[in-house]
Amino acid sequence: MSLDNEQLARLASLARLEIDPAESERLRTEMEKMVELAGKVTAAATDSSPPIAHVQQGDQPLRPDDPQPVTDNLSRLAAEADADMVVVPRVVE
Amino acid sequence: MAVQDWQMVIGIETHVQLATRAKMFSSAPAAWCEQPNLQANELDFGMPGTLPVANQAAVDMAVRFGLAVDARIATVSEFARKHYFYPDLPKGYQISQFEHPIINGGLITVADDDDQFAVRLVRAHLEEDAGKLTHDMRPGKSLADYNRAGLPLLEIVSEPDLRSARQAAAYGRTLHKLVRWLQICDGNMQEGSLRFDVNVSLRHNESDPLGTRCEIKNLNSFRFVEQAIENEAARQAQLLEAGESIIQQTRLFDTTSGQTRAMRSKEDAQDYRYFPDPDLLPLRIDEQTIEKIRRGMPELPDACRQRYIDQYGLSPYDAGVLSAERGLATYFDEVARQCPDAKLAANWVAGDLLALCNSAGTTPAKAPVTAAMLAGLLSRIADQTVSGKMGKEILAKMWQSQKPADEIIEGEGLSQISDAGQLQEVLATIIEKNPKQVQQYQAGKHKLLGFFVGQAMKETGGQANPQQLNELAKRMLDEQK
Amino acid sequence: MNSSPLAALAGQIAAGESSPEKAAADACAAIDRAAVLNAFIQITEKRAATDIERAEQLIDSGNSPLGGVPVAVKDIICTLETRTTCASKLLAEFTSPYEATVTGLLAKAGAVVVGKTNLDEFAMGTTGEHSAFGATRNPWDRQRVPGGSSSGSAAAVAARLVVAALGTDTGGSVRMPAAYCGICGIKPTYGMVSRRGLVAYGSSLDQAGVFASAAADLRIVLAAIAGHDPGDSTSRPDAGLAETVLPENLNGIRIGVVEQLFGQGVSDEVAGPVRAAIGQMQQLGASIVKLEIESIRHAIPAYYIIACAEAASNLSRFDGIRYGSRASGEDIEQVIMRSRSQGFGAEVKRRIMLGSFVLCHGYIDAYYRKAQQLRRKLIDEFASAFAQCDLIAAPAAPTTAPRLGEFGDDPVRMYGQDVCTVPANLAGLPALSIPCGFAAGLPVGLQLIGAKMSDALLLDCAQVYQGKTDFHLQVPPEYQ
Repeated sequence: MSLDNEQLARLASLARLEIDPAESERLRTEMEKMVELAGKVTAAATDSSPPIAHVQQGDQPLRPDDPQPVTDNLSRLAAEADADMVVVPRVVE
Repeated sequence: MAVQDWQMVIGIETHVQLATRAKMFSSAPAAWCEQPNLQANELDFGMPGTLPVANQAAVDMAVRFGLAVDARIATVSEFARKHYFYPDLPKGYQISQFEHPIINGGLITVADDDDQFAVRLVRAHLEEDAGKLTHDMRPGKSLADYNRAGLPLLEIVSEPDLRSARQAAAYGRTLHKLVRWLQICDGNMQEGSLRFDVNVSLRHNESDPLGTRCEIKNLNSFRFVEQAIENEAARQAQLLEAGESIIQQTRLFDTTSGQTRAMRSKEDAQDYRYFPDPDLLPLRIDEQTIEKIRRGMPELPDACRQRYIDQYGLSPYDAGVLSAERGLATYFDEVARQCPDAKLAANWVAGDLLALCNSAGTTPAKAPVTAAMLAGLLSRIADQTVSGKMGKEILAKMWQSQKPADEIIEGEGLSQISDAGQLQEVLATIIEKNPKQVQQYQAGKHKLLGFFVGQAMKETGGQANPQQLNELAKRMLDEQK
Repeated sequence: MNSSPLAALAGQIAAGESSPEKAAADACAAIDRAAVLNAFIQITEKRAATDIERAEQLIDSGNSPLGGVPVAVKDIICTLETRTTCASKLLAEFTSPYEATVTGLLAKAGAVVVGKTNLDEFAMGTTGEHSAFGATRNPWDRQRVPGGSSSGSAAAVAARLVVAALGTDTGGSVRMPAAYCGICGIKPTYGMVSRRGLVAYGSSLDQAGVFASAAADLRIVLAAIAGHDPGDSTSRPDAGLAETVLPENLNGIRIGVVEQLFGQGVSDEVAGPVRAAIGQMQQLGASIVKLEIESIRHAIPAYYIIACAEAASNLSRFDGIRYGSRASGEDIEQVIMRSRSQGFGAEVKRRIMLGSFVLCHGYIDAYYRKAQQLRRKLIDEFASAFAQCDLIAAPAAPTTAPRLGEFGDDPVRMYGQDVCTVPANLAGLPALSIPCGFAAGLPVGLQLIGAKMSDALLLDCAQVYQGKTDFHLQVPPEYQ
């Protein structure tokens, strides 16, 4: 399957990655090969096997509703923080 | 043509914040916290390597809601990841439910004055909330607080069954009442415990296909729901009448201008790439668990209201008032059980007790006068130990002192004088002292009965049984002839 | 020829001939001397000091299965008092605010974490070359790769810098470098070891694993870290390494030989020693069953679809906002986009792109869902296979260690190296790799794959094999 630059740009935008124009052609070729590899599954016969998302067959365990206090304000790990909050460039909705 | 020539078609997605103690997938406390980022642990911050474990209580609450609206509870449901980038979303995805929600279908009956209608539900699913951005603290910057991130939400999705802004608001109020009744949400609108996303489209007739809809996001009051819909419908009508078409989009409601506007975020980015969360196995709920939750379900508001009409003979209006809230209904039920006269109980609970609660800013459940105490007072009114008027004063004293009615009645000598001999004596003295008035009464001026009763009441310090006093006065004046 | 360097060192410490502190100092000196391997991203003095203190108390109380021995941890596992970089520029200065369950258990068993090892960035790679901190070298031949993604942990054990190390294995990241470096490596049954604190790559495939020079030492470390963790929803309720009495031979063991695991690019120089090892196991009493597992031929594409889909999702959290390095930009979109673009290396970006592709509208059914269907089919086929055999023997890697740069800019050719290892991850099965010979001076690995929860059986068989062979005793010449 071939990927055009528009598709590539759309994927990059979905994944929030910037494509260096100088590397765009190389990335496109690499991506085509990868998609081709992945595409080998499309021809495989799978009968009616339902998709499986986990190898674990058990039920989902649930946690008791028991809150644990938080003592460490993790905004300290952010590149920019102020007043115990994480600072980001202004977001306009 | 104008907006009234169009039929509004409205569907609502309601985000109900579930009243758990800990968060949906993390053990951080769910309680409101003034200090930013101190109710957010490493999972809520989306730290590398952290893993979600779902909260049992949130699952139980979702089931409780499902049972209340007569929906199908999925024995197997699935958590999925919904991907988008936003600084308030710590992991770059939200854990939600997509293909296999926990609740399917269901019906909500809305009674709005004379209008009664049913709204079908598509589904209800569990998900986690995002953090909160503040925009006006530093110029050019937004500040992120992740205390809200990870709070459990039940998203309730209705079919587009609503046909007016008023119906939409009534649906919202009904849902608000129901989730509080079920004790799965604190119902605090200011803190965003209930938030509505409203989908609006227009068409001419019920039989027409659905028009293109716009979604107005994040409305947190019934008034805003109503205003936003009215405004959006008017906007759409204007466009359609000008021959333009509606572009499907997400809009925001500006509470100051009362207008909706398109959101700035790019619409083309709305490919959420849902897939089952590999960190969370399928959520299985067996019949036994559902049965156990069913057995713990309270009587539902509609059934409660009907029971008040059938069992106590209350008017539909009174029944509605007393079943408006579960705490009130429970209080009333307790008073009614201990008081010989249910109607008397209804009047006092819906009247004086609620008024006292409102002015003290409290609820019946937390009132200093318990249901048993109020029932004690009402028994004294019913057996005519005290009059209704005295009862009001006694209730006020009970509210202050938290003493039982009997103690106040006895301690302050407030019991009603119902001894006919004593009352006759008092009346005889008054009749003797006021021959002129007696003459006038006997000449036909029967209004003067009130004068004698009033004087007697004054003489007894207000403790005379008014009904008895009336009867005695009338009889004695007539006998004077 | 069974040996247990770990038990031997722990014994010396217990006997007072060494101490946790001295053992750690020795390890650090050795790491220093072997700096050319680039096996470590950091030496964790502060963390080691904490661990030493605890280990001494544990040893005194006679309750220290790991006896104060120094160990290394792949730098994708979150540890306190150290950085956790994932070999990424984006996390170069990142310190986790919490500790992974596995390393917590290691410390509680008396191990001393002396360093965090190099890896392919975010565990994405087969060679150990895709690290923001430079490629790791193979101690047998420094012009060759040690294998990835747990490259540093494998090289460290192979060069005898530490007796044991932790890695993670999503598609072969423990077994492949174990094979290339001539040491033992185990990927336990999915759900056997907690994933809490492992920076996720492919969540439904990831398992922490152990490297050591002898199978006996794999057992000691795995016993310490296996167990149920309520903090990981995919942790098995019955997790834990079964205690077994080591058999003297392999009587009654049915070994499955699956031809599909010898096809698809498996070189003769690898197939030879592996078949010889199977022959030796037969001599030790095992019987051989020839089997077919059809779906193995779809394992590589299915694996890359599932792993990349999960990776694209898991790596969405790295936006430079709450932690990690943040790039500058005019608006929030630009900050996120640039932080990711500047923070991630080329291989990571490729996999995120592929993952986004297979999940996006219009392709998810043909790719992601189809891969999930194939995964179920593969699981079912393995289940039928294990009705006929107790374990499957196969090569761990199709070739011996490739040269540095051998795959150049052809990622797809590199992915082909995972052909023997990804089936066990897709099916959640335990699998280990042990040395079984040499080809042109480079080690060859024998892979044993078992049914779910047969981890102890695999270790039993490996130990019986190592009792009769000495491949695992070979040390790269420079590090003897």
